[in-house]
Amino acid sequence: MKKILVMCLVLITSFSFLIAQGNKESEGSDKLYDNEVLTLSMWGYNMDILEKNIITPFEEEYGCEIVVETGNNSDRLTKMVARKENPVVDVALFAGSHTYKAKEAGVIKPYDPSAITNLDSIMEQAKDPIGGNYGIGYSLSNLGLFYRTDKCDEITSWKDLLDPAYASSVSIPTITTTYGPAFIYMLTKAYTGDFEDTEVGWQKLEELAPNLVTAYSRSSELNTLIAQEEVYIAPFSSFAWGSIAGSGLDVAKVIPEEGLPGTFSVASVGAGTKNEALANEFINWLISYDVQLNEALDQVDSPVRLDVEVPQEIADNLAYGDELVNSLYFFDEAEIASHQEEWINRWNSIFSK
Amino acid sequence: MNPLKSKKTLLLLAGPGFIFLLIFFFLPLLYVLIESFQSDVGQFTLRRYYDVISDAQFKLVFIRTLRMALIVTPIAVIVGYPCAYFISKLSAKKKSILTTIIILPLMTSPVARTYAWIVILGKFGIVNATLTALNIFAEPTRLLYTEGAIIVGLLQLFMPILILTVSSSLENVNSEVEEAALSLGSNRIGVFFRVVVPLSFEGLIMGITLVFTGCFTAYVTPAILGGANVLTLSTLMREQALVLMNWEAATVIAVLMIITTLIIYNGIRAFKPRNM
Repeated sequence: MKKILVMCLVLITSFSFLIAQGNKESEGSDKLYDNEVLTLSMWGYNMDILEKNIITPFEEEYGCEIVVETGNNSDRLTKMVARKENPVVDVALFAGSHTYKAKEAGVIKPYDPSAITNLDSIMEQAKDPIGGNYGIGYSLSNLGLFYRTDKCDEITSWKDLLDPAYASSVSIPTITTTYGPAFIYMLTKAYTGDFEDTEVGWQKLEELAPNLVTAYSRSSELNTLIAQEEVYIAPFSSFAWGSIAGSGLDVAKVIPEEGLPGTFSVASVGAGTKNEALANEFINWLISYDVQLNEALDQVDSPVRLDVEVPQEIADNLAYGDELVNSLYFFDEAEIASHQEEWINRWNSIFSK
Repeated sequence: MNPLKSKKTLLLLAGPGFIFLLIFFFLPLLYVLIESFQSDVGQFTLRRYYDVISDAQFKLVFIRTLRMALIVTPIAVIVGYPCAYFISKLSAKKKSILTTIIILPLMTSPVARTYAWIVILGKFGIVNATLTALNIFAEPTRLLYTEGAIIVGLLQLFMPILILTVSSSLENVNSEVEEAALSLGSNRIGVFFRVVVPLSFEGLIMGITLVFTGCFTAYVTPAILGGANVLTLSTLMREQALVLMNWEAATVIAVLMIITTLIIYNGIRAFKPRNM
């Protein structure tokens, strides 16, 4: 008896599924990219919000299906390089540094400016951050400087990280993170007035190294160190500010007199895409007003569009506002990549002493 | 003839596991090995090995990683073996309870487990609070992001493995053999070192190998508890592969790690009593 019941249930479920599939197929539509599949390579963070703000509305608008491959920058780039002969990624979202590496590895191709109708609405620096139209910056972020207001005097400069009063309470990003090289540049600017003589920045890093709690490789590590009251002053990635501010400690973020490094999350067309037009549409979609506004309101991505306005309490948690944006420096990814190996070795020799 | 001993049955039993290992372990390993000896144009070369081994940074990191594994392994044996012996002498029920307690840390995420050490070893953690309360240190000292922190983390991670391996091996030691040795005039310590330890040697070797290999190749614990200050071979390998995209150097490091582990494994086996 039990067996018959189970069989009936299986049959009913199977029929329901087939009927549902049939209905889905017969619904049909006259959308431009009906039944086409667009493969995205992106980070796996906040997927529920990205589904709501970006992916589902795009699928509904264009009638296509989006398939997502998630992972960190390095893993995804490695995968794209390994599959270079049989590419599957149509649109790749990387940090600026990895977009440059993807360009060098030949796994992305230039976007079509004529297809990106929203291009004129975004920040000038976001239009072509890598050069050669190899990607569009769709989300702004920056390295900020935070401090504990109950433990430190007012912080005004990157030089303050070397103040002996804060020895053993400082943390910085490691050289292998997005902002690691930018930190060397900011130290250089703090002590020489410009970014040219990075030797000075390295000498200052050597002075700073013994006073560090540690150098962090993930924002979550910094959050833990702040929550454990190990760190009183540190550069932080702007998207981590919500967690730092929510630590319940007396914290403040500042724009130092030397300014802050900025960077973009970049969207690029996959080199071997068979859906180039759709890939360009998707990149255009990423910088459309509604997407940029909704992403900002959900505090996932800071807008690169100049016409997006958000309430002050939300703006505080984003890389947003004229004062901040005007203080940002965007470093040349090609130059950073050219001395990456040397800088990593130098960093390791300083920290292995 | 015992049906389990027939060739066909043995093949059927061992086949799936062997095929799995062949496809997902031995073949990729062989590929890695061949790659590490090939130049960009496919010719045999030792250049990659020379480049990695002659690098001062690599030497420093290699010695540090080896040192930490060589510190953790004997501590795990000294502390873990008596614990395993004690467990093997318990009733089935008590044994089951203690074994569950021992494997509990292995069921926790290594990341969560390691972050717990940050709380314990931090500036205001339990250890520093105790040391300052006892006036051993005037103020909180740096315990995190040191080799010491990694050693403690690795011990917590791998000691349960040694205990489990050795205790299962000790279960096969017949207690009548110990009684016989006692009745022949040996004392308890003599029985332990001259009868129990040699009879559980296979399990001990396996435990030592697993602990040493685990320590030598661990990534999460050194990455979190050592931070930027204490680079190990695994963190160096990750840096080469995923940051510099230098897969050749990463491959060479991987091969050197395997070779070191094999040397240590065979070195330990050399101590095996001859009559076993």
